[in-house]
Amino acid sequence: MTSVKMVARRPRRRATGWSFVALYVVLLVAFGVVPVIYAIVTAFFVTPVVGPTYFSLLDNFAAVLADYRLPVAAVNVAMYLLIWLPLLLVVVFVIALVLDAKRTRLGALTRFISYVPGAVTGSAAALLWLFMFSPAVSPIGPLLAPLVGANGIIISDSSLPMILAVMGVAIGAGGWIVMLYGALTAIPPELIEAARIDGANVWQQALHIKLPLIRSYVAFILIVSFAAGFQVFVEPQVLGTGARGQVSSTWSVNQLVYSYASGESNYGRASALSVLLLIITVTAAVIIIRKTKFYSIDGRS
Amino acid sequence: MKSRNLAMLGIAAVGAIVLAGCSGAASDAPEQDADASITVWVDDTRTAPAEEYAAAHPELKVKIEPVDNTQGAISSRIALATKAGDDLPDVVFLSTPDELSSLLANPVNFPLGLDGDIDQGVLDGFAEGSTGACTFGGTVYCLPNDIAQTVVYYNKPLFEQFGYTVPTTFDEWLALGEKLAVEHPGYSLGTVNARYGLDAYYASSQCELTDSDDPTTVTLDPTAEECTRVNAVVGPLLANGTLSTLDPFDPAFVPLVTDGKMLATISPSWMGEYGIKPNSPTEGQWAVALTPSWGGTDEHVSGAVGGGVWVVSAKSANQKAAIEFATALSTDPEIQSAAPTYPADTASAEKWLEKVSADPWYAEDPSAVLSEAAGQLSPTQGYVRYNTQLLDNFNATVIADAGGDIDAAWATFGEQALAAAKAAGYTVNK
Repeated sequence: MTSVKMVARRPRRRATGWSFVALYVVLLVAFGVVPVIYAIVTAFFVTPVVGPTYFSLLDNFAAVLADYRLPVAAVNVAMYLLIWLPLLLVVVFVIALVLDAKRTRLGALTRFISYVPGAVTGSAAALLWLFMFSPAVSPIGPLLAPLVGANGIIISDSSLPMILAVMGVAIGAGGWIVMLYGALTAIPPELIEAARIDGANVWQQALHIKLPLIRSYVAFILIVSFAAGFQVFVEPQVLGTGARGQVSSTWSVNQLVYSYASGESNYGRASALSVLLLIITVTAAVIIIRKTKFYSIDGRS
Repeated sequence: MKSRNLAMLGIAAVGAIVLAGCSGAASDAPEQDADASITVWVDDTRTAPAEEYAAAHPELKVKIEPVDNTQGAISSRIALATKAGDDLPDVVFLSTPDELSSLLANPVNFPLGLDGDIDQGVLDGFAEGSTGACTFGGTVYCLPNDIAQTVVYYNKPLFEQFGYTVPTTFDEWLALGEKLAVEHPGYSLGTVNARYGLDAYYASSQCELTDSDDPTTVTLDPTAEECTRVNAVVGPLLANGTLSTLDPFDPAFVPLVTDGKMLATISPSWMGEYGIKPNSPTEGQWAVALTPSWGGTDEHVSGAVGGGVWVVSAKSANQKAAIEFATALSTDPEIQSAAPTYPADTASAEKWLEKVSADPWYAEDPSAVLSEAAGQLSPTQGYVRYNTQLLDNFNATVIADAGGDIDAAWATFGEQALAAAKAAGYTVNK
């Protein structure tokens, strides 16, 4: 109640607050809220091959959940997430810790170098990695020898989780390293000193002091990465068109959505599956936020 | 306050969407205007001839738009434009003609039935069987532009050097592959990845996977002998490595062609010009023969691996001009004889073959074989909405298995093919 009174007393401050977020709200409504509502509405309309469109609460969802491609795509994405997320977190945390532990004059340069691969993202990165993983043209060809299959190629349905995980770490880690490094430098030095006096070694300091203090940052990385990884689309799509006939056009769940919408012109099913994806990513985000007390300030509850 | 605002916004948005949906319903028979200009969507290859024809016929008022023709791009663009109530093209060139089956279904219903409006002589002029896949419910919905009949491309000097004869039956083809693997390991009989397997090997055996005569039914029987006898050839040759699991344009396969390690391949009629010539440019090496016959008969059947079609919009305001344009582009011997691929129109094909028979790249004149194969298209290949899934599933089962246990892999593929057809809204006949 106090906050309401304060706001009432200071209408100008409230207007200022709104003006800060106004542009964001407009964009969020135009490109976030409206499409989601449109998808939810569309998900309840079934378009048969012949005959009129009709309303049904369940038909599209049932058809999507019964699709033989969905379990395959779900397993592909799960494999990818299981490899990528732990790998990403470990790489990001370890490199950020090393940068933090040994603050030399080269620190800024090292941070810059680790950030550079992140400059090439999305479809451009996928194209780049398509070359990296084509043994015939790859600049690191000899290193890839153990990965090459009997038919002389590397990129295939089954190798894709590993390839995407490597790509994802190479592209995504840099930005997170810079962010986590910033979080680590914000930890009061007296805390670390106290831990050291109590006999904690570097490893113990990292695990028991630093990690809990930057918990909410790790949670943020997890939420953003999970949502992005769960909806992986561009990378398998580009690698698939490049490595012709080696990657299924419905390798990931989001590609299945795309296939419904573009190949089959079945917007009802595309929307139904999108809505299911949204429910899963939002649920996961809520769980992570709750478990890590994400909104508590600086990780202190 | 905040949540009420959001709710209001939601209701407004839903209302707007519902209204948009209602106004988007266009009538199917627009008023015809003989002076209306027409819009034509083409791929890169068809852009120049379309523009030249449009320039030579200003009275047709044609606007040529080159568009992205990757698999599914055109049909989804038309579907979205239909849904949004935007302008639709009057004529479309489809380089993946399976998209016709999507255009024929809800919510698009785009193609115009052509029989009544087109001279029967034009339809009769196409190679035998080439309009079959365009026909749904007895109505022709597309004009074939080019046909991709399969033939055997073989390296003639290499056959002479090895002392082999070119197979005319698939029993001989299998025997050749088994001998080749033992006597000359590392040499190849081409690839069976995706459509290069399904549309060449299985289609030439008349294995019914996509035989569709109307938008809601398909004949699909992967357990038939026409299918399983192909496994008995493809399986052993995949296992011994003479057949590759790669796409013929894969950087890992192309070196076989460049290094002269490809003895022969069963490939569509465009493969010589596009796939083999650029990588094996030496003159006097490559010749063509009919696709081998199945089942101990001498009845040769060709599969079709691709081949583009022209589609006219039922929603065009100037259907007469649209039909005239599509007909000209597909049957004008001037245009078609300059085309890079084998013309579906027989008169154009004869002119096209004159150019090919004079090409010194071939070891022998291929025109007689190409023309005979063009008239032997498999009647079992149709345009269906699950073609992409079919190719994906084939690669995920038979190709991924690489000759390990092809019968088991094929059985899995068969189940997935049935599931794909049903999910796409087909009633499946056996």
